[in-house]
Amino acid sequence: MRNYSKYSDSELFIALKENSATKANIFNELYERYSSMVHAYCRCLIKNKQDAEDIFQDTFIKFYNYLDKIEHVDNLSGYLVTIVRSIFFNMKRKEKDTVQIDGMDFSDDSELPYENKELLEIIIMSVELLDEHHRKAFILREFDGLPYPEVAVKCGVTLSNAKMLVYRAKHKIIKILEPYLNDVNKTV
Amino acid sequence: MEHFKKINDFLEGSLPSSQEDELFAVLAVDTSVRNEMKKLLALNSTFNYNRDFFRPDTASKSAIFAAVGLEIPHTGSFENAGQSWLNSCLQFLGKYSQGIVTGLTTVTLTSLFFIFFMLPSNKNSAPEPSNRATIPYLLQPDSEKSNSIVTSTKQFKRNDHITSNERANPIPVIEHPEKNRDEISQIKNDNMDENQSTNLNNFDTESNNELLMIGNKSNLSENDFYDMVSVDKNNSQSKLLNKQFKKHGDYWKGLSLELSGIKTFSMPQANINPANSTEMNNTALALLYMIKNGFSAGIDIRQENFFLQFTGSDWNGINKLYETQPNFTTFSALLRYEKDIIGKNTPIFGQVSYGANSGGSVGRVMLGAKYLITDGISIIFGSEYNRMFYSYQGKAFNSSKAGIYYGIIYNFK
Repeated sequence: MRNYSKYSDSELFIALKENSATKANIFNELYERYSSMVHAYCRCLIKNKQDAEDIFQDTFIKFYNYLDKIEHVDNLSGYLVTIVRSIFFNMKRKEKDTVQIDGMDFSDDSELPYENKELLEIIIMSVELLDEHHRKAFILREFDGLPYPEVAVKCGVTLSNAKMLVYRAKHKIIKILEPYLNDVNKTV
Repeated sequence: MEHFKKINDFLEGSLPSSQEDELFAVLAVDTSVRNEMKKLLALNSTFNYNRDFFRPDTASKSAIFAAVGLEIPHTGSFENAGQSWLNSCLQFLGKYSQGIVTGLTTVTLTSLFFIFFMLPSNKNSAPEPSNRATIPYLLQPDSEKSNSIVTSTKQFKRNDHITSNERANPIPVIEHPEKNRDEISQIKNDNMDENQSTNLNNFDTESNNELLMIGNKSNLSENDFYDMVSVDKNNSQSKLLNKQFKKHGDYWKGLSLELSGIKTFSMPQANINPANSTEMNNTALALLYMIKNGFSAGIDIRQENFFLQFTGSDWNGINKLYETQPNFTTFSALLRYEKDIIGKNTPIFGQVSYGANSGGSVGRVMLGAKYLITDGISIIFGSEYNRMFYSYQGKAFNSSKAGIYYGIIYNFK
């Protein structure tokens, strides 16, 4: 099997649209690349674990089914998160219970403290702002928990460059989240 | 930024102990560095606490793939091992390609040298008597003594040479000296099998004339015979016979050395100047051996430029377009087919070659003509199309150029 990990999201997206012979492999690569991030985002957004799983699955199914209608994707992770939000709001509308994201209450989720969950959600949002190389390395390391040598192989860079990519991604995310983190630090 | 890196390394456990003291000293006095550490800790703890959030069930993956009608690709250990092995091989070849190519070229050249210059020929390894040359196809074997033309060397064992018995029975070459050449040919065909006939047909006109001349002297004595065939530079007949012998013992025949110049144009047109770092830039040296029926095979070494245009990301992850026109030393194996379409001295040829240099692999096709100036010297002129295949950061690229090829060939005799 061809090694698809070295291809960019855009290249894989185009190949997925055009190449029917290797669709399963390409889709698998994109799934492996972003499933952990999308799953985490679903778990942050939805209280019920089963609902979160359903939305997670629907996200990838919708992404695949709507391939022909999508011209070009610059930021695949951002696109997937947008699909998650869309499904989530549609689900809420069907429940005839209009919910706005600002008014959502996560406090009844017994699994995690609110700050952690909120911070995770914000981190996921901020990951979208990273460029592709940093985002990929960051997700592989922090979301998927891979050791640096594996991150380096999957990113097609040297070990030291992989460390550098993750470190710079962290630095950028902290810069993006600085106002929020400053508040958290003050309250602590 | 520098402190942030140290904090990150410390939290990941990769900061050298020698730098830990330095970091702690800074943390003790600098509030901003402490805040940086708190932020990084918050980030890390968020990931650590939510680790199970990131792992979707395998059932979810199966459900997704089933819903979209795809099969989950097999990523079994055997396949991974195979891919890993293949990648390792490719990396090894890429890393040591220049050395491997140089080694193979050396082995090829050495082999050719031994084949053509060192090993004795099976056809003619007869030791020459002190001052006489043997003419195997004029001798008659003991078992088949008759008054007919003996035309095949197959009837003689290797290292055969004229024995005293044979000297005592000189062969009257032609029984019918009064007959003309056509009649003699008829006699040959009637008395010989197909192979023998083929061998005779290989004789050039000059040699056949020579045979006729010998045949006319029907009652040769031993001394007369040896006087005819001995290596006497002053005797024109001996020269011709000796030449005939040497043709069969020629190890060099079919080998040619070709020195050429190349003028090429990049496709698309290069917008930067080439690197002309070598003395013999755009020059090729080829060694070819004529195998059979116009087919030649050989090796080629060439100094050349390729205009490379490729994309990649720098270590900050920023995508960039790179353009360069470096100089390469390319080693190739080539196959050529030539045919006398225009005339005997002007064969047209087509050629394909494939080789490698330190940047990647190179394929070429060429069409051209040769012109025989003298017996051993030809000039060559042709047009060619070249394509180089290379990769950068795991992505494959290629570069093309077309051009003209001109040079001089020395044909070994």
